[in-house]
Amino acid sequence: MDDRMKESISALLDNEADELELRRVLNHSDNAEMKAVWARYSKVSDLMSSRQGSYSRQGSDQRCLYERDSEDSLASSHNGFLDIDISIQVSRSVDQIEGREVDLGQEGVGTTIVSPLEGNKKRFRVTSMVAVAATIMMAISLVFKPLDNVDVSTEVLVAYNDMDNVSHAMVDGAEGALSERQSMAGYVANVSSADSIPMVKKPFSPEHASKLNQYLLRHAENSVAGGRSGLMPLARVVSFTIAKN
Amino acid sequence: MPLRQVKHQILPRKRFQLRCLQVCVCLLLLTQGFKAIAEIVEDPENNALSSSAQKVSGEAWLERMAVAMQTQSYRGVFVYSRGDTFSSMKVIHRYKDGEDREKLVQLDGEMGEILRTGDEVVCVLPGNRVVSLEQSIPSGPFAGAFARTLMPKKDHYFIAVEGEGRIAGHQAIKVAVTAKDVYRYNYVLWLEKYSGLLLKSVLTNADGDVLEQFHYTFLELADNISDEELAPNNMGDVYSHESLPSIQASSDWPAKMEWRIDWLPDGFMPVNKGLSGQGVVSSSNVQVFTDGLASFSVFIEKPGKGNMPEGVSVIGATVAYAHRLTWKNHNYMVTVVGEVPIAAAMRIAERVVPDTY
Repeated sequence: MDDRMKESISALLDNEADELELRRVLNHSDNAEMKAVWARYSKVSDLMSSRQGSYSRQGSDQRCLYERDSEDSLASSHNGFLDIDISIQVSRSVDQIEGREVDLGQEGVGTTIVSPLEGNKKRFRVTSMVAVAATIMMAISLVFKPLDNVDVSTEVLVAYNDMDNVSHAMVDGAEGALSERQSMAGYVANVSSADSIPMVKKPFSPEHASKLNQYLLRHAENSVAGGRSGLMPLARVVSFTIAKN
Repeated sequence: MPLRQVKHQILPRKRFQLRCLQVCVCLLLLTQGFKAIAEIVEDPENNALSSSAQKVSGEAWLERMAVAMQTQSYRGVFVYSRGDTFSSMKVIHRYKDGEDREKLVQLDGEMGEILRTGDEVVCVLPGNRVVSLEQSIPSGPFAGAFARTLMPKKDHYFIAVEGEGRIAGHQAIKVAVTAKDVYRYNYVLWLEKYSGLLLKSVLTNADGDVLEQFHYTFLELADNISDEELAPNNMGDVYSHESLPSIQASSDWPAKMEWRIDWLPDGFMPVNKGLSGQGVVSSSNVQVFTDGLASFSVFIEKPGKGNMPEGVSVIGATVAYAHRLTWKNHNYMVTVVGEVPIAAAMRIAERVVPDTY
């Protein structure tokens, strides 16, 4: 893995990723090496941020112990996914969206930023939402794909559903929030785990292929639009007919 | 040791990398600058055109493509692939006196043709079986204006010119159209530099897997296409395909009812009705939607023997999801067919409900 990818992962975990970095990470979400780096960085960020508050009050000896402890735990982690508590990061991120005070707790300086400047508040929230959504998507896809038998915490799923509801509410309005959430629980699984999608196995039966061909023809006729869509809809029909025969 | 230093020992150092990047970019720019100057000195005319072509925005190129696909006359051979299937086809397209005609001939396997004259589409399928297709989307004099309203929008795609290339002997502009949400696919299009005609397209999913490709191997822009070239090679008796059994005709359903689709991916518009937005209502049992690039059709049927097996059938970029739903003890089948991700098709199908009044 190149340094650019590591840089992108680091930026994503720091909520500093731009669009390009986000896409770069998501495009390689299946890469085993990337998952290992993601897990390692997550662990570091998680440990650092969860202990930040009390860290500044600790003595230098304790700091050394903590550093050694974190390094040891990283070294001994055979599978980073199992050790990560995603819910902490998700909860923290959701809290950020709700505009709660974010304590950045700069070590040594002890600076506490209560909230972003009023003028930047909206932009901060939007950026955070994008970053949080990406982080959660990433976390869920990492958990679902390699570890189908891992029981993902309810908190993560609820957080994901909440995020999804937020985005839909922005578009659709807030109607039917409960049913939306119940329904989306299924979609989380459908999108993330290929096993839960009711796929019709190939090769299709002759009856199925024939019916499918009818639908494709009808869909092609709907899509032709007097040449607006070009050749593609018609090519799809011809291609399927060849394959069927 | 400060926390940030601890972190930076483990995580990459951004500032250092940024510096390196800046130095690399400067070197690259200098190299490219010298190269460009050298090229301009060698061929100033072509490079002036190249520069102006790249200044045109991605959206403008897509508009140009939509117009060219209808109004440009050409003949060519292209390869179309989806999944593990490849097909080569010959196409002849003519625009004359305000009418466009097209003939598509499959070059692999059994003989098959598709002929289109304006609104009319006739498929001559293998075995000399002829199917006449109905036109659901407006065309003719208003097609251009209609097409412009259905151009892919910036709200739903990132549209960017990504350079130039050469396809089938033609200079091409590469335009990347990247979906902003999970309910549509990504496209990379190569458009002929002078006309905007589509020379190559690659459709990928969010993981970057190629689901469908279209690629000209030969293309000739021509104004001398005769009627003979567009005439069918082989024509048997014409059959109209059977219409879907309508639920409205069933005695156990309310006589007056319409179908409502409670959820659509943002930006998709119904194209055979003047309706838009969420909660689209239709009295027809077939409805088609498009966002300007992708399209899907929603079929609503009475459950029966001839129905598709429930579940998802995938052929390249095309997905067909058949789903049985119940309303007040009445069953009905909803099938969504289109070039959209499975998650979108499933979610749409599950939100089709009857609207009685």
